[in-house]
Amino acid sequence: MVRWSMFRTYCVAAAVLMLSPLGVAAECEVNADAIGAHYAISQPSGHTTELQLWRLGDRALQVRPEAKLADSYRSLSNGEVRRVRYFDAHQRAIEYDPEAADWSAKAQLLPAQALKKMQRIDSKGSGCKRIERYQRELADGQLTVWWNPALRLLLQLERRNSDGLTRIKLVDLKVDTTTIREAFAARADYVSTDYADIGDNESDPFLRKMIRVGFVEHAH
Amino acid sequence: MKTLTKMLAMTSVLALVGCEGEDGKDGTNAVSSSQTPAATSLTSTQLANTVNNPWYIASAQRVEDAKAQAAAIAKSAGQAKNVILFVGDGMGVSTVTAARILQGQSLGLNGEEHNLSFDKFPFAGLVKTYNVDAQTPDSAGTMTAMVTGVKTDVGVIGVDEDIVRGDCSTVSGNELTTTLELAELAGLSTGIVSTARITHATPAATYAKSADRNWEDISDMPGAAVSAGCLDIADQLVKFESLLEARYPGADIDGIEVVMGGGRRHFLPNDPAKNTSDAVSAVEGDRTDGRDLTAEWQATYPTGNYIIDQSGFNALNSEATERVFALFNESHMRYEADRNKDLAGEPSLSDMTRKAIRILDNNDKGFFLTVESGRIDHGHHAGSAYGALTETVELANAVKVALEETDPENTLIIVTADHSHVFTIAGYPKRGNPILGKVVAVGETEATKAADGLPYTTLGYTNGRGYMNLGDSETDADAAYSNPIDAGRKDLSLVNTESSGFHQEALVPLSSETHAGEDVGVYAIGPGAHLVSGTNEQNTLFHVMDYALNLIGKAEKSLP
Repeated sequence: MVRWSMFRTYCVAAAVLMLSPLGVAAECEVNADAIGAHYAISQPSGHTTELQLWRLGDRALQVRPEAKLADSYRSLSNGEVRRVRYFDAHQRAIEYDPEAADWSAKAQLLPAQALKKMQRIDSKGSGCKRIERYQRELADGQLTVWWNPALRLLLQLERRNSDGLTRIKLVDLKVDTTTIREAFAARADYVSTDYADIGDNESDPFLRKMIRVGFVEHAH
Repeated sequence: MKTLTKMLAMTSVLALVGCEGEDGKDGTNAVSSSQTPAATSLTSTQLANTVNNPWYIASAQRVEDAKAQAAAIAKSAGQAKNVILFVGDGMGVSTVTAARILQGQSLGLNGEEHNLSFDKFPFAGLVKTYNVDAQTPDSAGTMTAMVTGVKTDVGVIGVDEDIVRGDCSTVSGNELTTTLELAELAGLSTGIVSTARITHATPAATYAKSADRNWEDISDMPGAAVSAGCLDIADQLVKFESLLEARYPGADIDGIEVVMGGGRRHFLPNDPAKNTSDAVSAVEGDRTDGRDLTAEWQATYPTGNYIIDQSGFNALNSEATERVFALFNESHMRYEADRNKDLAGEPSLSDMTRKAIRILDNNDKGFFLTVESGRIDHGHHAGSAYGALTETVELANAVKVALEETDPENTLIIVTADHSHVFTIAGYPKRGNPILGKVVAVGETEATKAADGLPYTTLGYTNGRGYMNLGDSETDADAAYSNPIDAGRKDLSLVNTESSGFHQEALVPLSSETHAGEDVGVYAIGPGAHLVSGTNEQNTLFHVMDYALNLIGKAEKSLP
């Protein structure tokens, strides 16, 4: 899962949106609940990674290809969120109990509350191509966000501080439902284990070494 | 006692003085006319401080009660009509002690003097839990031992030690017969209740034979095992009647009357169209063979009741219900402390126990019921004493229900655990100190500091994920798995360690706390209960139940 603390540098990356085939009508005809967004994340060190965000109704999927990890989320009717973590290198999955969580953080990377705390600087375009720019001063720097409200989509995020610039930039956008469904189905055959059952499966080599495969990570 | 010791010491001194001789000159009778005569017995006055002490009086009465109970033991085999086996998964002795104190403190007592429902049972013993191939066991091998009379390997279900775990070809010929199966053969009604998935190791051991406890549905099995003809555990549950009839041709078996627990996903196909209203996954079912076993069960038992939620449970008329198959959760049922958050609602272990007994006792021949509190174990694995102990208290409540619903003259109730956990009650806390709190010594009001200058909790774990402070609003012990492992010592000075979201410190960092290998307790009441006394191999419990019910005898009589 992408952490707020990972965002360190920024640059304008609304080009994807501007060059996309999405219409310019005041109303966006794209279903915001069926989206596939690919991001490039660059660190002050120069290291870059990829993050994929997929949305389909009450489900969200975040994929980190370099780490060979993915997290799927499902929003439940009682307000809880159910997470499943996928370990692509092992074709295994770990299922968590549903728990209270900010769905917006899972489904759009940027928690809705975080955006509300920022000041809107300017905006342009409309509908699917609208870009709103927000900014906020942090204790150790500045945060700038480019946002599309119709798609509920993070276009770009930049964080500047003494370490340098961390940037998350939208580099590709998928809106065809078939591709999106395939993304969610890609890991359906993984052998899954309830986390509650880990302790009863010490004989499973994968479960024994989970501590070393990125399993332990703060969820929120 | 100190007074008695002093008196005995005085008596000894007096006796020694007397050993100088009878007339004080020749080595006999040294008592002179000026000395107090040697005491040769203790007077009631001398003992008054002892015998009038409430502790003394209560424990003396306990011995009298025990003598009466021993005299009343029904020593003939087959005196029981019903047997209920309660298994607290992971409920070691320290868990029982701590839960006792917790429940007592919740009632406004100091806690230590309180008794859980089964603490009052007249007979208790210890059970050695090791598996044939493991010093510290798992639930599969241990429950198999309890219900078959045969110790076996770790991780296998209903088969003996000649099995090779994970090798389907080694199942045939190594199957064992369980108490539930014998009860069915004998014409008794049978039931399985668990807060875990009903295909999980403990309940599965009562009805299934599997080379691996993880083969809960077909998607969990390797292709070779499926090709070789091994059935998954869920399939064996819904086909129980036909499978048992195949092993005992001509036997009249009517199938398990009560099945209640979690694990719906192992009975449904991996098709979102089959999702229930209670589903938490996008695709609830796991089965890859396209089969809906809940539908197959309903087709086999058209007068049976298949239910999935609280409303379905509430609608069950126990007097008119012939058979019930209840799957209340996609996976394990919720922790008792967390139960109110379930989407469609689910009953408590106590509720399920009451309903199960009222359905089963409609059979005049009697019944055999297994009730598992499956998530004490999970609370400990997550490093949550609060989670484990609140589950244990609920198990005690369920046992109390069983006592209310049955007659100890004809019902043997056994309460035990399959194995223990690395859970300790440590330090020198004063009497009545909150069991979930920090150690405060006798005569003190401030928490005791360890050698590192920091306070520490009474309860702790040798290994596991370690310290977490998830707050009062967190009642799901498994929330720990979303947080980093944090073993070792922490500064708990400002931490409310009694909150539901607090997880105790652990020494050795592990992704999950482990089982422990020491003996567990067994507590029994009813016909044959005396047989649990002493230190027992775990498989002995099968023979206790068999003795009480004359299971094998009745089963043999029913065979053609």
